[in-house]
Amino acid sequence: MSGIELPRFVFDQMVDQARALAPVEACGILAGREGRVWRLYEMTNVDDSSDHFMMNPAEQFSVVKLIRAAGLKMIAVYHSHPATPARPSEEDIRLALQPGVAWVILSLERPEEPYARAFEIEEGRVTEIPLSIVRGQA
Amino acid sequence: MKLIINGEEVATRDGLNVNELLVEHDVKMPEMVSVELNGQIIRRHVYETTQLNEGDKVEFLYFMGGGGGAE
Amino acid sequence: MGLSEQQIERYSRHIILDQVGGTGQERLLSSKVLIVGTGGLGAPAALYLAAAGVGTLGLVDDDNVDLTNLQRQVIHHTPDVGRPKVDSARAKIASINPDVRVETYAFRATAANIGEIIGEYDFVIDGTDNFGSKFLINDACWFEKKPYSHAGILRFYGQLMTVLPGESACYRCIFHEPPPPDAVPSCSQAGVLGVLAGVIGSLQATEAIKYLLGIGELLTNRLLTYDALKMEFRAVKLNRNVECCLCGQDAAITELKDELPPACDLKGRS
Repeated sequence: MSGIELPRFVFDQMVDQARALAPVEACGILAGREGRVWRLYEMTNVDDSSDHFMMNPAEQFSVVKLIRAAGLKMIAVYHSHPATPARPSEEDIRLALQPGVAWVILSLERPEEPYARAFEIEEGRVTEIPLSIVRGQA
Repeated sequence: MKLIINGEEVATRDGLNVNELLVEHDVKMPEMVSVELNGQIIRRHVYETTQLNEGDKVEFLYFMGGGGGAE
Repeated sequence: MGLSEQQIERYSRHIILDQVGGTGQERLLSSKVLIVGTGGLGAPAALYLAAAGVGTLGLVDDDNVDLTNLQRQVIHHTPDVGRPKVDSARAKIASINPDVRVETYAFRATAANIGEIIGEYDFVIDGTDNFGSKFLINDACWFEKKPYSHAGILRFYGQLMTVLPGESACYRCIFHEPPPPDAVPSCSQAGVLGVLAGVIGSLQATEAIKYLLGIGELLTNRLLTYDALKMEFRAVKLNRNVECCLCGQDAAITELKDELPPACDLKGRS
């Protein structure tokens, strides 16, 4: 994947969700087409923890169905780091088992300046990929 | 036997094959339709040899080439 | 981009919809839909897509407006008789919505030209009126990996389906190849209730808009059939066909061709 384009309004939604759930990690799925995110789907963090997250497979399955029904593709799994940098932890890397998706981490370590970074994680190898916040849809 | 044809329950005689069913349902030529049997599209050359059984779901999908243009 | 005051007013009924919003409307304004055939199906599709603010509409049709068209091709009016259809359509679109840019292709879609045309667009609408063209569009969208809306009408009946190439059933998954010339009548032979074109063409525009916005459930892996006399809609569930000669395993069709192809080669299956 060469990079992800994230519309500002989706970024804002991620931030709102992360702030509302802090100090617990928030998580969800970003869906769109050809590297451009159309929308996010909030998911439940079944671990309800401040240093890791886990999605419910049944909930994930339903969301993937909705994504496909709308002719969109799953682009990334995102989660928040309420107090640490936007860098995959050991655990994040270990649990990044889903192929073909990117991993987006939103950091609230600087509460007034939330920021996100995107990564590809394959067999324990982490590669950062460009994430650009874009205005509108054009 | 009971078949479900185009969503409706229909009673037919036993031992019917797909070709015979088309005739019974006024499909004038097999080439006018595509037949889906229990979720799978079946090819025309097997219509004659495909036996229908109790509870089979059959859909006749009509070829429609019109688009309201000149043709 | 951003919407102007006028646009916010024009599209207000879209913008207040949760699933659309200003963002969705901006998306529509930056989208491109190709309508192949500016006749019965293409006419209502073009009118509604223009009204909706789809930023670029491509129109393909080599024909001129004929008196017999006016019974159903509602984008063409009596004074347009004799005029190229794409011109007639472009003028009405401009009148409905100056935000919409129209590209016209006043020639017949063929294997030689269609791939290149399709490449520019986000979604394609099959508004054609003959099997050769319908199979051509299906095949071209497969090779170009373009999502499209298939539809057909005849007498009092219509059908439509949305195809996401490589993901959902294509036209050939269901209807392997064009029928022999005498098997299925055309609209000019058997007739068609004019308003059918409006119903089905509008549904095609609906699918295009849903696709562009990324909302709802597209009509994939389902053939929607409409019986106007019974006023009945049925959605027949379908699957991608493993034996499809275009998108299945061991697919026999590997390139785009104009002539009605020979019977799909089953490659050893009997």
